[in-house]
Amino acid sequence: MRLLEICGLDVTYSRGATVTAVAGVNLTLERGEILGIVGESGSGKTTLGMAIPRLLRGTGRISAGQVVFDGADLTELTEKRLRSVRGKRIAVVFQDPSTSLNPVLTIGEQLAETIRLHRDTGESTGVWTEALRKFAGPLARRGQSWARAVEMLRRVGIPDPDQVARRYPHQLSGGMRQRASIAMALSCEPDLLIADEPTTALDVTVQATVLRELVDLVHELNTSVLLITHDLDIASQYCDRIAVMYAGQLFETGASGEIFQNPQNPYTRALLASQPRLQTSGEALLSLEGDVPDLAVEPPGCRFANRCPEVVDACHTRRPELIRLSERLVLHDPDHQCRCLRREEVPASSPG
Amino acid sequence: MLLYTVKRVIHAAIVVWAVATVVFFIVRLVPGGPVAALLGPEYTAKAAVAMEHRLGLDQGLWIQYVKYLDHLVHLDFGNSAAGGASVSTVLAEAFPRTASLTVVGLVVGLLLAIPLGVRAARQSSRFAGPVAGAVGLVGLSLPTFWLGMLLILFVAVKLQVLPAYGYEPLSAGIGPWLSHVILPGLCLGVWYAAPLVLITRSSMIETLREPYIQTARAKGLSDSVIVVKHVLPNAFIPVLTMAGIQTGALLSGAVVTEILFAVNGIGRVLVSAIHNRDYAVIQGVILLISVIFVAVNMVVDLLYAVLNPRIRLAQEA
Amino acid sequence: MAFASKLLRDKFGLAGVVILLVLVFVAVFGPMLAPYNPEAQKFGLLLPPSSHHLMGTDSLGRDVLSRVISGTRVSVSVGVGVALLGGSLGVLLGLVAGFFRGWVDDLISRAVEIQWAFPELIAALVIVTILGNGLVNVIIAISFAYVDDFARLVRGETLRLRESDFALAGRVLGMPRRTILAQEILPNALGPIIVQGTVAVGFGILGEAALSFLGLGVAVNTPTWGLILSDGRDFFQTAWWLAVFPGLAIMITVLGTNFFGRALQRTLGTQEVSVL
Repeated sequence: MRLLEICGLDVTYSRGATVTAVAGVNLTLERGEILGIVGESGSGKTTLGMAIPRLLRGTGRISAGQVVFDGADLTELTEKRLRSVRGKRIAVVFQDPSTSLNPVLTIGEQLAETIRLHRDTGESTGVWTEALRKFAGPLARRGQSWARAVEMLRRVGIPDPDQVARRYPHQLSGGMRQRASIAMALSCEPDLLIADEPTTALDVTVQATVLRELVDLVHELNTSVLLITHDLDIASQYCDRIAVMYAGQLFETGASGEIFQNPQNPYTRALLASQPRLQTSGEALLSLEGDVPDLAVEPPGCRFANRCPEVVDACHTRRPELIRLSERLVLHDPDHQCRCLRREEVPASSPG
Repeated sequence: MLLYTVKRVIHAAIVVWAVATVVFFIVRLVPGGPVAALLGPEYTAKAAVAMEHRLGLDQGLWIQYVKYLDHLVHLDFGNSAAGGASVSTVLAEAFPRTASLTVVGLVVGLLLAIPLGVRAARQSSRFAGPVAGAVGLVGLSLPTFWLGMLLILFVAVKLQVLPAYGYEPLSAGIGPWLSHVILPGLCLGVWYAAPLVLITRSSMIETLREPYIQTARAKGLSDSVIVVKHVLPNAFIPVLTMAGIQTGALLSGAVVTEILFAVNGIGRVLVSAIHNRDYAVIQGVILLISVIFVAVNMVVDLLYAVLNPRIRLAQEA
Repeated sequence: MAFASKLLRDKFGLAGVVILLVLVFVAVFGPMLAPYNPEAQKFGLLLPPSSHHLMGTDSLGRDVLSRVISGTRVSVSVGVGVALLGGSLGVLLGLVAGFFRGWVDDLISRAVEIQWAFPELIAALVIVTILGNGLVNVIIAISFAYVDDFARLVRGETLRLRESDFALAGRVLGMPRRTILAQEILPNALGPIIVQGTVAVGFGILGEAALSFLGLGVAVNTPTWGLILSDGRDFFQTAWWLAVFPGLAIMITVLGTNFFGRALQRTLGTQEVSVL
């Protein structure tokens, strides 16, 4: 059975008007697989990621579709059941470690509480016991959960983890904080990790190292990953498969090598071409005219039509579907899918 | 933490010293001076000189100041002009009454403000939000003593449930003590609670929006653990600060409340002393109130560091 | 203009503006609106509210409504005076401390802290004792307590704004520091200052009421709301109107300033005000 199967997912926000942030997304994820969700800001990739464990903020709602995780539809679960899934079977790493860690609790404590909650450590997890741990000093460091927390910090490559565990987030560098967040997410060995731009907020010099460690660790734990990023290079380097998102829809999906070497969707091509690369210095970067469409209104045709370099008249009136490409357009992944009228196979029964 | 505590204590001591110095000079600025008031109708130039000598007012200002500080350290505030009792005695007798009122006010205020403010921040309750806002804004707009008058009108006069004035010490029993203390305590409590409710609510709302709360949810923690362990220690930081500052309002509110309810606490003592030009007493009361205020806020600073490690660690650096 | 309409659309703003306008109107036209002479002691003693005396009469036979109306002018003057005096001094100290920093900042901050150590009205009592009664003295006495609010607020804003692009541009252009303060920094800090000012008006009125209640108010014979309450102190238990009406006047007025201040804060989007 597949680990994750998303069918026809729609996510809406109501800010005066109803905005459809994610529309008709179908995705699958196998065990141990790393899937990259690539898109610009506003593409809906974070919303998609947050919708899975149902962590949408504000007025966000899953208005249609199913999210089947290990056989169970998460959209049907009660909040109470969901809480036993979150942290334990589905974990999240957020983008900015300077705000996603609680400033008044030690690193070790923030890891330990997850471990205590989801694994059998014999320690109490009552509300008031948990609350008092903040003030307990050395007492809070006694149990198994603390020891495992320290061990996890060691596994993500943090030096002197026992000392670091006693520190507060503001005392660590950005890279260390994010490593700690990763350790926290993986501490209960979840089946699925949703990583929302895990290195974007870090210094460039640290990004590659942290990402490498993350990938190594998930491979060790056989954890599947949904890697959300705007950087197609990162996706192609670390992901098994890639799904490109634009304006709430999937525009292209396939194996990462396939997408990178043989991008078929005009948007994907534009995305690739617009990313600065050392090898292409001297050439002007491609930038697209126009803006992402207003997601409150469903456009009559393709959502990329107003900016697409390959646009034709039909693109404004007919909505393309995400379908498998014909053999001749594919490099080596037969499941390479694309949403574009201009890549649709001409029917075999055409006249002539 | 130890270093931080020491720093805060020294800081508080310096402020107290500065306050004492200001009080010293202020009291000497009062027109007429203590001599004229003390002698009253028996004022003659000769008697004035003799009195000045007796009170040590003919010595140089600097000498007076040093003596003043020396006396203070030994907790000698001089003697009351009205009756001659030592100021310390007067204060010692009056203070427990004021303390009763303010402590009751503090407790009432906290019990009113904090739960209401916390509830008001959660989307789940419809009522708490507007109620909190109303208590806050209206509470800020009422004169404390007017609330007292209204309470007296309704509770003491109409319902005849509680006495309208006076005071019974605890030694007379919890019942009598409480029945005299509850109305003034309520007045002070509402006045204390008003800004506290508003800041608790807004601080809770702000903290709930923070990304690290989203992280806590993503880990599967229950709502109660999230609120108690993750939200409150952060949200309460500004609330704590405000609670400390508002004790100033409690103390000065006690002055009018004591007049209204005829409780012989230090507020009443102060007002009488002002009308009688009794400088030693005025000086003593002002000092006492300021010292309490500074001490309370020092404790708040220490608690603040317990809640928020950033302050503690930054200060020790 | 867009600002004004936005302010009025907020229900607090609307209520606040209405109350304040009524207040200003009564303060200005007071004597003409009062049905009787506020000092005339010729009516029946302690009469309950009736069609002749909408708010009853007091223990000396004076019409309470007339006294409340004529008290508006003084009470409001004190409130405004406190906001202006405390505000000006506090803003000045805050600007200087925040802009020049170093020992100037230390000195001013210590001084402000000493003022802060005297809770609210305690210092006002002593100041009135020294200076005596009277409108100006009361204003000085009460505004002492609010200097620190303004000073801290403005110091914070100044520290923040002095590093802003336009302030740095001013330095680069060789603008004298005085000018940078006045033209670049102050206008941008104005929002929170005005909000704090409206709150201070309310507190000034409350302070005056408290001082009058203690016999240390404006003057023993000028009716202010606090004084009317104080006069009624011995009789209100049987004559409820002596307590209810003047107090209601105070409460509605201060509510008005607080509503206005809150709406102002929301419209301006500022966060810095200490209480609202």
